[in-house]
Parts: sequence; C-alpha cells; structure tokens
Amino acid sequence: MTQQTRRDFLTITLPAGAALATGLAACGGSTGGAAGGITSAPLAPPATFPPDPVLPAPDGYKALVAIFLYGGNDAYNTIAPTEGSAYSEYAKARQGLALSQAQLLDLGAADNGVRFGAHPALSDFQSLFQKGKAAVLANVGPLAAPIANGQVRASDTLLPPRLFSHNDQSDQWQKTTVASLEAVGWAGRAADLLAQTLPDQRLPIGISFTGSNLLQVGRSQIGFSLNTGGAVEPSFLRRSSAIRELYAEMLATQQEHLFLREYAAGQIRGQDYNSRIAAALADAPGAAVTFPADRLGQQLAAVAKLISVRARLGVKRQIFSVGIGGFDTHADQLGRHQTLLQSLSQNLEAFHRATELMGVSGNVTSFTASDFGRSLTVNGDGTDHGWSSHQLIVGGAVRGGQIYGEMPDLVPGGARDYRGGRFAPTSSVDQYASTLLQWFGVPAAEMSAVLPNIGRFASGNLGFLS
Amino acid sequence: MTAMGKWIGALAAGALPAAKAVDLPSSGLLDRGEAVRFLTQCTFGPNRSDVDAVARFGRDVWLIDQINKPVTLHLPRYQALLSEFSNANDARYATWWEISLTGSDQLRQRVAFALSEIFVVSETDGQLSGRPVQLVSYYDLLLTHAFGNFRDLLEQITLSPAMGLFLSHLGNDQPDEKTGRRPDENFARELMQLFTIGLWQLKPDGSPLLDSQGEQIPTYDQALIEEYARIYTGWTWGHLDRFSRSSGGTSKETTAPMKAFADHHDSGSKRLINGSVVPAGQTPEQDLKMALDSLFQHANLPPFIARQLIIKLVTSNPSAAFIQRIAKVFENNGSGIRGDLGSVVRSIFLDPEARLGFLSDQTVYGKLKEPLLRLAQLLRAFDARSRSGLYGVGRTQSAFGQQPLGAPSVFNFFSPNFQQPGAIHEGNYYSPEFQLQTETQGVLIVDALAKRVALDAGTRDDHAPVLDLSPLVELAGDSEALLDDLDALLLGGRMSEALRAQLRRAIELVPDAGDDASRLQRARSVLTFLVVSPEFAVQR
Repeated sequence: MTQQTRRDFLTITLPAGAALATGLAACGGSTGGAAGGITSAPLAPPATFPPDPVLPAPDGYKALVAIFLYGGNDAYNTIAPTEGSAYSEYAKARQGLALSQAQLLDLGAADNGVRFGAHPALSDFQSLFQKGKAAVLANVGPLAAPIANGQVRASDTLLPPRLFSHNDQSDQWQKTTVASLEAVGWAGRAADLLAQTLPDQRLPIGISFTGSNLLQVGRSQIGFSLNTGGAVEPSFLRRSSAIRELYAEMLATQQEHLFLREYAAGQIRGQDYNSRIAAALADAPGAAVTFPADRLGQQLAAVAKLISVRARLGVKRQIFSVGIGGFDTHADQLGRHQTLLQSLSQNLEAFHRATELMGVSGNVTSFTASDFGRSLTVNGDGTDHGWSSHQLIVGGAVRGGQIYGEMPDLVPGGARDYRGGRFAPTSSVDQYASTLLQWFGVPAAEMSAVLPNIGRFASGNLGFLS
Repeated sequence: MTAMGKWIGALAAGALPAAKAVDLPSSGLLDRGEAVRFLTQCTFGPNRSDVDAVARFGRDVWLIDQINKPVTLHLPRYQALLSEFSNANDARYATWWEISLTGSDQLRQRVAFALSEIFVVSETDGQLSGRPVQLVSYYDLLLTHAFGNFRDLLEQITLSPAMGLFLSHLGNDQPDEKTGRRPDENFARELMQLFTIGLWQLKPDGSPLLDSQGEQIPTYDQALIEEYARIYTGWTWGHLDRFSRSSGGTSKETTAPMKAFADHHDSGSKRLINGSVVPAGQTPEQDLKMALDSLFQHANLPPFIARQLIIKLVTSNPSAAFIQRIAKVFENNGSGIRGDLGSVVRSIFLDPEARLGFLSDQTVYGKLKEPLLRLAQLLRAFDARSRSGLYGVGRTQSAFGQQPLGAPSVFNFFSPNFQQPGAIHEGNYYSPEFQLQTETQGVLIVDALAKRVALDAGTRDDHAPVLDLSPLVELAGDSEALLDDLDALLLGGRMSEALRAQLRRAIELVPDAGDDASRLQRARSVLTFLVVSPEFAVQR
C-alpha cells in the first residue's frame, strides 16, 4: 500500500515510522474444533446452544478490549507476594527469577490477607490501580467445573482438554471450556445475541487487530481483521469506475467451489468494512495521546481512533482484539518479561488516558488474557507452560484498587498443584467472561446462552465491574 | 529449448531409469493442462519451459530427475549477497527469492518450503532475529534432507543451533534438586505435538483412534514430556569447550550441529513413549538416539507426516485413503526402509487423488494458495528479473502476511486444523491458509499482486524483479489468443466461462491501437484481473 491509499489511523498519535504497521495474521493460532476430544462426559452441556433470546436495544456506547499476551504470560512474576512466608515461598520456588521485595510495586492485600506487588515494569499499571481504575483477577483459567483443594489429581476430576498446549489452551480461553464441536468464541456468541438489538449497526461487533481470532467468531457474527495502518483499498480499483464494476462482478460470480466462494466473500467483506471505516476516518481528528511506538501501541492507538469515530460508524457495541507475542519465556525470562510488561503497562495507561480525553473511559473496559500462566518452578533462566494465571482489567467502570479472586499458595506440590507448580484455577474463564459481558449488556439471565458452563460455577459475576 | 537440452543431457548421463527413457512419443506424454496442474503443486509455479519438459517426459520421469538433482544450497549465495545489501535480512530474503524462483531443483525447493512450515523456526524470535545465518543454514538442512530419511532429518533439526535457540533446548541444563531447577520442556513438547506424533493416537489413515467410551486417546501426558525434557539436556553450541547457554559472542558462533557435555546431562534413567526405559549412565548421544528412535518408530508418525505434507502441497482435505496410502510408503518404501521422504514425496504427487481429485470433487478439493506462492507463481510464469540481476522482493510480511522463516510462532502462519468460520466450518472442512487470509490481509494481497503486475522496467529499484510481459504483448492484438495463453499458463486450461468473459472485458478496457504500448496495457489489465481472481487464488 502506498501511503495515499489509506486513511491513516495514526496521523497524529504516532511517529511516521511507527505508523507503518505490519498486519500480523494468525498470531497465537486459533484452531478449529473438529479434532476436539471431549473428556467431560458426565456434565456435558447440550451439543448446540439454545436459541437467542430477544433483548431490548442497549443505551449508549460500550466497548471491550481484549489484550492477548501470546505465549503464556508468567503470572507469578507479574503479581507476586511482597511479605512474610508467602514471599519466602515465592522466592524459594523462583530462585534466580525471583523479584526482590523492594522491587515489587505495592498493590495491597489479596483475599488471603497477604500484600502483593506488581512487577517493577508495571508502574503505570500500579498508578491506575491506586486511582481505582484498574484491578487484578487472581488465579483464573480454563476449568470444566470447579476443582476443590487437594482434588486436582483425583481420577474423577474434570480437566480441560489438552492442558499446557499453547494453541489448545489459547482456544480454551477464547471458547471457554465448552464441550461442543462448535468453534465459537464467547465474544462472538455475545455479539450474536446483541447484534439483533442493534439493527442499525452496519459493522460487525468484533474487530481484531491481531489476525484471525476465535474469540470473535459467533454463528452469525464472525468479526473481522483490520490493519493498524488504517483502512485499506486495492489501489488498482481507483483507476476507473469500469475497473471497480468489473472487479465487483468478478467477486460476485456464483462459485461452485467452497474455497472460491469463501475467498470471494472474504474479499467483499474486506472491501466493504474497510471502505466504511475509511469514510468514517476521513478528516477525523487524531487523539491527543502518544502511544508507545511498539506493536501494542499501534494496535491500541488504532482502537482509540476507531472509538473516536464511533458515532460516524454508527456503532454502539464493539469488542476489539489486540495482542502481542513473546510471552513464552522458556529462556532468558527476566529481561524479556521486563520489556513485555513495560509495553503492556505503558500502553494500558496511554489507552485509558485516550478514553478519558474522549469522555468514554467509563464505557470502555480493557482486559488481558493469555494462553496459560507459567510453571512456578523454573528451568534455569525460564519457566514452562502452566495453567492458571492472574489478569489485569482497566477502565473507568472497573471497581479498581483491588485484587479479586483467590491467590494460590505458591508452594510446589500444594493443594492446587497439578504438577511442578502448575496450579488449578480458582476462578474460571467463564466467570471472568461473564463478569465482563454482564457489564457489556448481556443480561445475567441470558448468560448461559453465551457461556453454557457458567451454571457450574458459584457466581457469574466476580464483582470487578460496576 | 534449453530445458529440453538439459533433459536430453540428464537422460544421456543415466540420471533417469533406462526403462522410462525409451520410446518417448514425440508429441509428448502428457496433456499440458495437467502438466500445469502438476507443477502448481510441486514447484514454485509453472513456467513455459517446465511445462514443456513435463508434457514431453511425463510426471514420474520428471520427479525422479528432480529428486536426483543436486541441491541448490542457500548459504553460499547468501554469503555472496551480503555485500549487496546493507541489511543481512535483506540478503536472506533475496537469496530465498532468487533460488526459489530460479533453482533448477524446483521440487526440492518447494518441498523444503513446506518442511519449513512444519518444522518451524522463525526470525520473529528474539534469539533468531539477529542471526540470519542460522536461519539460512537451517533452511539448507531442510533442503539437504528433503528427500532423505526422516530419521536423519529429525536428528539434524534437533541438533541445529537455530532450533536449539528457537525452542530453547540449546543450553538446557540437567536438573538441580537443591534449587528445584527442572529441565526446559519447550522442545520436548513441541517435538511431539507439532513435529512428529501429535496430541492424539491415530489410525493408519490419520483418523483418531477411539477408546471403548468413544473418546480420543492422548499420545502422551505432562509426565512423559518431563521425561523427554531430561533427555534433551547437556546440549549447546558446537564451538564451545565448556557448557554454557551463551555462545560467547555472535562472531564466534558456528552453524554446526550442537554438541553435548555429559557433565550437564541428566544421566538418570528415563521412561520413553514406547514403554521402554533409557538406562541410567548413558551418554547424551545414546539417550538422544533412543528418544528420537522412539518417536521415529511411533505408529502416529507415518499418518501425521503424511497429512502434514499433503495439506501443504496438494489439498486441505485429503481422504483418509490418500493419507493411508502415503503413510504406508512412509512405513516402507518398498525396500523395507521406513521414513524415505523421497519416496513419500513422489507418491504424494503421483497419487490418484493428487492427480484426479479435482474431477471427483469439484466443491472442496484443493487448497487456498499461500500468498507467497501466489506471488512466486506470477514471478516465475513471467520470468521476472531485475536490472541488477538480484531478486530484491524484500520484506513481504505486511503486504502478504508471510515471509520465509517468519512465522509468528512455532505454530506457523496458519494451523493445519484451521476452519474458516462460516460455510467451511459448518461443513467441517479444514482450510489452513484461510487463517492467514483475513479480510484485510486479503485486500492487501490483492493490492500487492496488482502492483507487481503494474511494475515496469522504469522502476527506480534496481533489485526489483519486473515481469517479462513480451509473450503477452505479442498476442494482445487478439483477445482470444491472449486468453488462451493465460489460461494455459496460469490455470492449466481450466478457466471458467464466467472468468473468461470477465477477462475479455478487462482486455477491452484498453483499446488496441495496434502498437506495443497499448498492447502492453491490455496485457497488464487482463493479467491484473487474473491474479486477483478467486480462480487464481485456489489451487485445484
């Protein structure tokens, strides 16, 4: 693409070099479910989802921003205990990877009464937390059903399939632990439900800046991928209307072959959505916030810019996916994690500030997700694949300054350890998603239509959003 | 006719079996459309001389000749090109494009590219981003073993410093009970999950084996990964005298296989997937041999690798029978040898389903072409060259979503099990390449292909390959002749009537003034529409 063919998202917010974003596709990998093995027969939910209920039209604008930390973010060095025996246990298990008590940025006490702190790279996050604009959800992950202490290795315990595998657990986070062959994500299912209340919204609810994205796939709503560089258009189409008409006719040609048909359909959608966005972005003022000149900054700047033209786009509900890789820190973790978390922290702050300046900070909630947490035990200078993790939530609607959920005891072989410091979650992804979606406008009574397993867990609202 | 000359030379040199070399009908063995279809599967794209050769000598003779051709390695060319580019990565891309487009060992180059998307290493990794020489050497390893034995390939991949850096078993130390340090599990896990046997036990035809409850059966568990992780301890850079993860500086680094230090190897006994035990006290080399043998002999390996190769080369949804036929060749090449990749590759391309599947199944058979392969096919079909003689295609990640050895993770640019949401998923079909072809990436690819067609010899970039459209210009006064030629060269004579009518209009958008200038514009117009058409995007 030459520069003049795009309506740039980032004309004001980023230096010129950073605006030339690359469009990463397929990051993180979302696979289809055809090969999926189902191991939770006793509690298996219905094979298909119940029909969509009819909901009233929503008021105002709301957006969710899912921030994927691809590779499996190390939760135990993201948020760590800062005092007493909890710190000693952490330091003993973490050896050379342990952060010092003095380095950790205080976040106050968790449910177990122990004070926890954030990684030193998370100073902007700490500041949001202290202002009540950010929260932590502790020890969350895929669960087929609640697991009691001491029961993780019991033979009759239901486990999510293919634990510790990147692509499978990343899929579990996006689908939630649904024993269904339908490859649908929970955001896509919510979009299916909400889209019927939004007949005037011409764009899909889901937009991804991180490639094809299972989270956003529903049955009728499938989301779409956008480039951080701005809306795009094939430049040869600008030569004449005759060329545009011929190309449109070519794509509209009836095709017998499924792949040809879906290829053409994708091209038509790509052109349609990009041209709508180009029109909305035309002459739109830039946000007065400078994002970090990195990949996540490019993506969140683009999200902010789209939110700034929400009225022109005629959208009332949006779910954005952004994400960065590099979190699979099997080796050289200390240095790599520092860089990654610093980008995350600075970008969370910049994005929140952008929403404040646009007057929509209470309408936009950002949250993190990852393939899995990492093992508490170390392999030298890194950690391996784990299970539960801690996640960050930011926004004006967040009941911030608190650590939600239950912090695990950081002792290998403890009551929730599957093996080698890979702890079983105490909150499920279903509960995390349900809390976000209730705020977003999915009524609690309809939540099982989106998250069929939610009834297996004690609460469908973990309380971190007002 | 230079290709023909080489063919005759090959025959004379005895490179081809004598039985195949006699009684060649002068009119050619093979329909040219089928030759185009065949070459679209097994090369970086058909060009006029290769189509001539395959049509003249037949597929199997061509395959045998290709398998016997010497390897065109990338490393020597990369080293020569380093002085031409200020950035070593650009030299790597230019090497890849030059040899992928012009190498006479097209089959080997194409298969190695498929292998690079199964046994993934990537420049996006922090350890490899500044080490293009390791990436080039790794690619040479894939080229060298592409038609060799899978067991050798497995060992070479395992010991390559590129893979050691990427999956962090380079410098993987023995456990330390005092500190609680465990071995790194990264390579142990992905070697099983992605490179050899996969997550679930398979039948010989690649379908899942089910237990008495009708459930799939895992091939391994976390405990077994930990056993294998202990086996892959003690290995590091080949140039070091002492065990260390650090190479001591990139200038000292070697591309030679990694070397083991017994004093950093976990020498305890370990359990293997086949139930046997690695005895305590063995050398790292002895342990590694047993570990790799156990995976090489696993019943999942033949169907797992068969499916991976078929979907990368021929069709996204092969029948179980196709997978089983290829798996059988993997198990035994006919001479009692397991893992003979040359025989596997040959069997894939000669399989009745590869050759005739498009006739029996006109709705799903085939695959979306990877974006880089669409570009390569265009460049090869029109013998693209630059003024400098180099192939400075450069970075393609942004425009095409793909770059050689540039996947976002070990999971490649796309998953073999991806199902495009909508009709493809509802039909329960796989469509791996669609994961890369998002709506917006699709628009960018179309734009980039159209720009490549538009690029003329006056480009400021000395290294940019420009299409030679002169064969089209000669025909461009006659729309039907031009359409026939494009159909034959790019679509194997299977252009639909609808597309032909649309392309005729694309030609006629430019009036024929009877001169080369207008005819070049006519050729560009029709070629633009052809390369952005759904029919060009899907290999059938």
